[in-house]
Amino acid sequence: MGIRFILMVNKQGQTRLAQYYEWLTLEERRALEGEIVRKCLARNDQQCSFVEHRNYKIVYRRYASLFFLVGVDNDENELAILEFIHLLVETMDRHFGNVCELDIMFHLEKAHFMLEEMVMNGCIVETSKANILSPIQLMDKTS
Amino acid sequence: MASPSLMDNLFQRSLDDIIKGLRHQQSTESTFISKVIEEIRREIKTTDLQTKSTALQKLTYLNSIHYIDMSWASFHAIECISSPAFAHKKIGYLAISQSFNESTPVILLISNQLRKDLNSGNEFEVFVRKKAVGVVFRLFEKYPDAVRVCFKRLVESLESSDSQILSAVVGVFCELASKDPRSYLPLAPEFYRILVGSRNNWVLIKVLKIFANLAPLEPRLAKRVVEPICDHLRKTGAKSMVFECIRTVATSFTEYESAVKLAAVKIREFLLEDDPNLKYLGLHGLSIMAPKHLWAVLENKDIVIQSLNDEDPNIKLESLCLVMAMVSESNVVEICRVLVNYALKSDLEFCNEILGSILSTCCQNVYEIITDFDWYVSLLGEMSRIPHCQKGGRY
Repeated sequence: MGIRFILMVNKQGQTRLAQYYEWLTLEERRALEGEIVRKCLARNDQQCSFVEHRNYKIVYRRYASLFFLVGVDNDENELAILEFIHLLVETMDRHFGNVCELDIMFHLEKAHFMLEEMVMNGCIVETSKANILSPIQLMDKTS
Repeated sequence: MASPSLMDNLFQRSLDDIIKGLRHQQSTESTFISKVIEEIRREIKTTDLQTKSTALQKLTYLNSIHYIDMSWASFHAIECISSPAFAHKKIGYLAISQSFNESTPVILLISNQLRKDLNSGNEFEVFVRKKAVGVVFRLFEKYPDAVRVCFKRLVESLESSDSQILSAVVGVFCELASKDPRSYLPLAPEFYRILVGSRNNWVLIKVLKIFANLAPLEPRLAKRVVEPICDHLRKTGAKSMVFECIRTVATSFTEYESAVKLAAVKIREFLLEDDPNLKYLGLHGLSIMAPKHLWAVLENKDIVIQSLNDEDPNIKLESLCLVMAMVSESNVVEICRVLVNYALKSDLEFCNEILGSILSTCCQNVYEIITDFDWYVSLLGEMSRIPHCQKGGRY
């Protein structure tokens, strides 16, 4: 399947965006997010961006006050996922202009729509920023 | 609960209001949220779709960020997607994608609306059609027979010039080929075309994974494909591609000496980088190579042992595994000496990892590699005296 979930979490461990590609109950999500966030936040900048968790891996990177965590299957290419995270940040940056945590909090739906253009059923399908943003811009025009 | 009144509709709080309200509530967040949920439960029952969809929007937010159950609102989500207004539809579809699952009772009701929306002639149609391929894999998981029905169309899509469709289709085949590679061997020529022609690294990485599954089944295929893979390995500027090529060669092309040698060269480049990600992946690449090509690990022995000291616990663990892979009858004494020294300097967790590895490797195959049992017994004694040692009871 590739990607199992994508999380954006701030330094205090509060989830700002959660997108799951496999069904988990609310209790499972709460537990999972707690465990993973603890693991990743405990690591410093000199350590590598990959953490093994249960039977899959987490690839993560920090941008300013936000951690981007992507849970992937064990055979997924970690470097490609790091590039994907960077692409996601650049795309949001282009749309919101110097994106920050507040932008995501107040425009969560937009962030979800962007993610939905890029990832389908856990598979990365679109990596051109222009193609990702054009439906979003179209929606903005009509609403 | 009272039914929604005109007051509710007029003075309904928006999602923005809720978010701002939450930001100002530091200690009484749960009380605030309970109040909001009460409001939502009232508002959502209205027949006015604007009010209903705003209530649903707030609930979706609370569900996603604050783990609030929204399963009770599933029928309201269906009502929202039936609205002719796109603004309501998109709120409804987002709620559905976040909260529906197999056991949601009303899930069958969306199929009718989906069919209408997919056929509708609005300006968003072109985007909607592209999404169809991605949905296909989920279908295949549940109804494997469906593969046969869609197969022809899927194969046609492999020739698509639209990169989004191609990415999705290659992704689907990647998953299918990992579960049942033999059935997709006939498509090898298509994948070969993509391997040599595509410039899109995301697609290429998936195709490499497909070949990693297909090559072991057909040596003639492996022979044809190994050269383009080495070509990519030599020429690509993307580290992710380099790593995927290394992994593919080390997993499925282990008989091709020149390919393996090239991969080993690239691994060494990773190992020498300062970037901990590349170092970690270099070590990981070595551990994939180790079973059939231990020489590659031995060639990099100095870096592996140095990495036992790295400040990243993941890197330390990878290098420990590699050190254990290098153990043989002739070097077991020397390696154990080096490892025990590291264990003395390490923290509790890593120390016990080291000791555990030594114990399990030495007793493998009924102590196959131990020739001098006097030495081994004294080593056991030494290890049990190490302050952090927790392995006392086992051996």
